[in-house]
Amino acid sequence: MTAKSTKDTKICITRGDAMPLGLVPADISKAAPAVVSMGAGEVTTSGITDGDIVTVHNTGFESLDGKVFVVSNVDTGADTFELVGSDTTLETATYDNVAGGILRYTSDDLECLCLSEFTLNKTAPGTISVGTFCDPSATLPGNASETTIDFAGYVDITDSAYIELLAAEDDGATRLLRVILPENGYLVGVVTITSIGWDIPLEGGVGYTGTMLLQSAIRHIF
Amino acid sequence: MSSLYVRELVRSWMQDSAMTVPFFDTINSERDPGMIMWCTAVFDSIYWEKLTFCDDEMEQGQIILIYSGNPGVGDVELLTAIENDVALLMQKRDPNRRFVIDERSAPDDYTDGDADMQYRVAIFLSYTFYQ
Repeated sequence: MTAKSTKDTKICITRGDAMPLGLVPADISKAAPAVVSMGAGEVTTSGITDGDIVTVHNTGFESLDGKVFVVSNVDTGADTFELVGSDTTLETATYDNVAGGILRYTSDDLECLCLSEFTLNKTAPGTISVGTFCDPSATLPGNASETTIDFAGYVDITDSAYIELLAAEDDGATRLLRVILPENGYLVGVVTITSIGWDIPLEGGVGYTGTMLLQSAIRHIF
Repeated sequence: MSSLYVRELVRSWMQDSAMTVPFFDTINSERDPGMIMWCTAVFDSIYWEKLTFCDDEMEQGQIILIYSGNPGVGDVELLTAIENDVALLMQKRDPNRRFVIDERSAPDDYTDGDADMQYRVAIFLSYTFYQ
């Protein structure tokens, strides 16, 4: 095992005013990773690029639908691209090329956050004790615990990413999250910004802290 | 040693016309101010740290203001001038809000209370610079 530095890590969320481009694949392969085939010339005209975030819908592939992926190996000649971390090898359904679609977010749709701290708090669901004299140790599953991300940074009102965080907390709408881990793939998920607070030290920079609530499982794809 | 931004900003502040004691930059410079009461600055960075995933960095350090005054006439004349000038300096603000003087020390005699050909007093300033 070799530890890898976090240098060049990028943490980005989609902007609230992002307008993703809808793509209708001609086909999606059963492979790991899945290969998305577009119509002739469509990869070029769409401008889809390695690193783009996409969400997949109504393909009939349970391992893809409703999930966030990152695009890789864009091939303008073959009009194909891959979905990082996808694995459709066990899919039994046929790709639905009528209803199936992909929403693509470009780098212009993202705000990359200059955070000083980013911590994922993934907790297992608790249990509820229902013990009786007959079975003192009986339990029932409790509600699923919420997974949150604590983050922090420095206030800069000229930074569009800071402005976007404030807007995200205000509107409560979901954002896609993409964390680039250099040489280690990506963390992707769907989040809302639930709180932003401020830290004003006696000496030092004005900082902010915040919490993201995960609206989907966060996945490490590579 | 401190970043150029720190040095140039502090030098400009020390050359404010409201300062009592004339300032001369002497770093890598053989200069004769031609006067008995004058001051200069030495810059020393002590610590730096990466602040964010975007490679924002912070530098912390010390600026030593060295004041020279009339020898053999006690400390009141020079210290009166120093305290006036340092009070002015502590009111200065970087318009970009990247540099800040966090604290200043009390005057420190270089000559340990003895009469000397050159009576010198130092003020130590601690600073933070957000790069």
